[in-house]
Amino acid sequence: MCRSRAWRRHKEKTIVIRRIKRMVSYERSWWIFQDINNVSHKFPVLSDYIGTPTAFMFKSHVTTSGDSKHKVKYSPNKAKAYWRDGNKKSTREKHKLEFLKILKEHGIK
Amino acid sequence: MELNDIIPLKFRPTVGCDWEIRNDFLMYKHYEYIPVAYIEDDIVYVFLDNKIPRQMLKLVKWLIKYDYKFYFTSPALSNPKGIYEEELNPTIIKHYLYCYIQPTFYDGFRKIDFDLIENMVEWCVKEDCCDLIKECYDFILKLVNRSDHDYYSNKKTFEYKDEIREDYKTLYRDIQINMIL
Repeated sequence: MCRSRAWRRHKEKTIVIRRIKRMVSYERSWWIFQDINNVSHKFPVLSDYIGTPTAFMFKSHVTTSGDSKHKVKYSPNKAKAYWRDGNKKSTREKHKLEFLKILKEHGIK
Repeated sequence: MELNDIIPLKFRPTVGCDWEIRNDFLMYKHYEYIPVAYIEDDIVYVFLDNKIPRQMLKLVKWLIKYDYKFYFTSPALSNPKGIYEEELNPTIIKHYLYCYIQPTFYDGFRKIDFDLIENMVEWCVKEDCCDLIKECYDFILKLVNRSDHDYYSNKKTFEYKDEIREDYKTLYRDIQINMIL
C-alpha cells in the first residue's frame, strides 16, 4: 500500500532523529564540534546537528541489504524483502534519479 | 507588541502549527524546538539561525511588512550556558557577517530587499561598539577565502561562491558609508 506524503515525511523525521541520537551518543570526545552557525560545542546535543551535512546525509540514507541481511533472512516475511537497493525494479529512489535525469536533459535543473 | 504578533499570518493557526511560544521565546519545531525570537523593550531580537533559513526569511519579511523594529543575535545566546560578557558584542557582529556570506541568506535577503549590513551598523551604533567591526570583518575574511587544493587535477576550489567573495571584499567600505550616514 502506498502511504501518503505526510506519513512519509513523519517517518523520515523519526528516522533522522533516531540516527542523529545514535551519533550523539558516540560523538562525545576530546574534539570540539562546530554546528552550522559556526558555534562550537564540547558536548553537542540533537539540536546542534540540525542543518549540518551529516543530518542531510541521514535523510537520504535507505535500508540496504547490508544493514538488515540477518533480520530478513530469519524473518517470517522473508519473501517480501524491503531493501531499497539491488535488483528491485521500481523504488522511489530510482524514480527520483530517473526524474532528475529527465529534468537535466530538458535543461530545467 | 506580543510574540504572537510576530508569527507570520500563514502559520498562525494553532492546530498542526510548527510555531510555538515557550518561556518568553518564539520557537519553531524542526526535529526539536529551536528558539527563533524574543522581545525586549519593544524591540524584536531574532536568532538568525542557519538551521531554518527559509523560516528566518519568512519571519524577516513579515517583520518588515508590519514595520516592527528588530535586530539579530547569535543562536549561541539562546543556549542557557551563555557567553562571557566581553565576548557578547564581537560574537553578534561575527554572526551577522557570517550569515551575510551564507548563500541561502545572501540570495534570500536580496530577494526580499533587506539590507543586513545596515541593520548591523544600526545595532552597533545603538550598543556603541562600532570599533569592533573591523576586527570581526578580518576574522570572517579568512573564512570567505577558505580554499582547497586538489593535487590530482591541480585545481584550487573555494568554499564560497565567487560572487560572495568579491562582494565581501568591498563590504567594509559599505559598512563605513553606513556608519557615516
